[in-house]
Amino acid sequence: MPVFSNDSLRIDALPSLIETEFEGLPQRYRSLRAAVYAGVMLVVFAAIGVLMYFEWTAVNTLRWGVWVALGIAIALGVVWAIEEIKGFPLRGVLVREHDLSYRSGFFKRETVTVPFNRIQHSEVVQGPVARAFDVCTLKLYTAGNSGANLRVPGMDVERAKRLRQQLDERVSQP
Amino acid sequence: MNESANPNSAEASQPKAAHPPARRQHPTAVFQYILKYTWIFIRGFWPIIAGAAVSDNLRAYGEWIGLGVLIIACLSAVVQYWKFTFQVTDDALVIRRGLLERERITIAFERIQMVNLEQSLLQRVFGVMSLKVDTAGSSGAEVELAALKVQDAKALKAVLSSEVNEQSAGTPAPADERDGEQLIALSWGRLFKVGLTQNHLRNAMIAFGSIVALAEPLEGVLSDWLSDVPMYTWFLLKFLWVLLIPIFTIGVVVVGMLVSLIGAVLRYYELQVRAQAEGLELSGGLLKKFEFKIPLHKVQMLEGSSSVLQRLVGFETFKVHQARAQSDPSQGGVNMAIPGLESDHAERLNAMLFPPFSGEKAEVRPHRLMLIRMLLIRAAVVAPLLIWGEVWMQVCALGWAVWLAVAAVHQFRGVRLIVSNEQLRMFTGWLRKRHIRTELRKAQRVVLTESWLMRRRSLAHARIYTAAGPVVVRFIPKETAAQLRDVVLYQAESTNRPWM
Repeated sequence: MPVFSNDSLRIDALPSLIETEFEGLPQRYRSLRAAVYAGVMLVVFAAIGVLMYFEWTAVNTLRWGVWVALGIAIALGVVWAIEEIKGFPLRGVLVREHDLSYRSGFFKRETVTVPFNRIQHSEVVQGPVARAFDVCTLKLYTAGNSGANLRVPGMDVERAKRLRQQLDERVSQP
Repeated sequence: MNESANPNSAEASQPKAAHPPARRQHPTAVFQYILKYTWIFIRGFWPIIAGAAVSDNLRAYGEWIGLGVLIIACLSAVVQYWKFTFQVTDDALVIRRGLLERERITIAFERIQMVNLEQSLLQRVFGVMSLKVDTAGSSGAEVELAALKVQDAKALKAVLSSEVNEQSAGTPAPADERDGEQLIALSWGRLFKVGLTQNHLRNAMIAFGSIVALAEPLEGVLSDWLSDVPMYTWFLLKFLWVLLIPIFTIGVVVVGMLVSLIGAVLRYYELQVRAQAEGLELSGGLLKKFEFKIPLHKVQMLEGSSSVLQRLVGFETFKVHQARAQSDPSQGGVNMAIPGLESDHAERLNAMLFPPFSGEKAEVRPHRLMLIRMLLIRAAVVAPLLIWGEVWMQVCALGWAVWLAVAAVHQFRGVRLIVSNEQLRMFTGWLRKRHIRTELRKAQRVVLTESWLMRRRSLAHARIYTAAGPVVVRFIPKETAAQLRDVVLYQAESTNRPWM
């Protein structure tokens, strides 16, 4: 039984997460996200184009539904583009001595922190697209039904593996 | 993780001289499996069965189909029983099962979250019990031994749950310790009160719903019967329906109360909570008996709730939350609910589960943006009725809107978080008040979220996830949220004590 001390805590003396210390993700991940964006937009606008073509040949005019679809597609495209352009620099990881944090999102910014001593196991996942861009997703699992998984997409493979190794060492020692 | 299933491992290779050999369950497990499989079939193929009720073609083969199902159910039940063995080794419960795909599950004692015993009416006839082992991992390994003789089940539980705490030799806890201190025993009078203070409205709805569902097949009979009712009754009804409303209301209330009362008696009959050296034990039940046991350090959260009725008689219901397996949110038995606690009982329970809530405390209240958002969402729900509804709908909607607004204001006022250096208590609710208490060091993940709108006011949501679920604090100042996160992380990272 370790000696248990119960000193009073001074909040200002605690180490705090500093927003500026977050490390960005590699530019390759930005390219990946741009490629995904371009792909999805291509499919959406191609579909709308085909729709417009058929409308034009069938009734020789464009009904209002088509314009609404086009408008929604454009609006979503713009919002998503803003999210990507403004949001990417905000994405980042902060590894401290005892925990790992991941921050993401422009319109809805989220910072997730998981202490190392609460991690049950970790995974490095790499799909075919991610492989082409040489990035991977690091997943950390905690116990129970909290849905408490930390997903860090777009990590440099080397870095993720090193981090994971560190984690496994920490987790394995009680 | 906590479950290692290696189907192909050589089973005989390990020396197991010291522990008892692998055993099968009590043969009555076969009956339970038959029931289970038949039930699964019925649930899965109910459209066919419903079809059989109306279609003569299907009904002609009804016996054969029924027989086929029964044979399949019997066969699979026997196979499952035959191929299912369990064994207690020095540090684990080993289960082997499956015919085509042999599975071997090893549950290390230290991974066991909770052992609970249940006895249904059928099981009581045979003198057996079922034993469930819950291990809360992300893979959600829950294992059930369907039938064991009562004394075997109790012995096994004693072994499993004593090992949960101490990894000492596999001796069950001494007999005198088994009783422990009795925290709460629900007497008849109190049980009656608990039954009377349940949510009658919900229970009445459930009763009403099941009556309607049952009445549907009887529609033909019902309409025949209705056509026999003489015409003048209908004529009278046209004018007297106003009188029927209070009668109907009283009927609903009475039905609701009856259902609540019966439900409470069935569920909480002879409910006992004991404080033992190794944990908290809960037992009770009338037709279906249960016995839960949870080690103290595995308790993640204590949730108290009370409705208006319950507060009137000074009762509170407490739920003890522990880490949950991910796969079975439907399993109701995971949380231990303890109804009918008066304040002194509640205090004892609190004192047992948590160190005193002392030291400097800070109170955190949400920003009024939360109230504005609540009102906006509710307005969006009511607005269509107000705009497009007929006049009587508009009148109703107006009343509803006023009610929702009042409720929103009160609910908003009820939200408050009190944090000390080690613990937090979160209060929510208005008519139904809830509060959650947990230790900060139980946290597994902290999430801070701020939307674009909130960022301009420098507000944030904080979510503190424990293994049993999150504590969510919305619309608090960003700075406070960050401080909260720092404290929580400090507590979680600076301790080596077991947290689950």
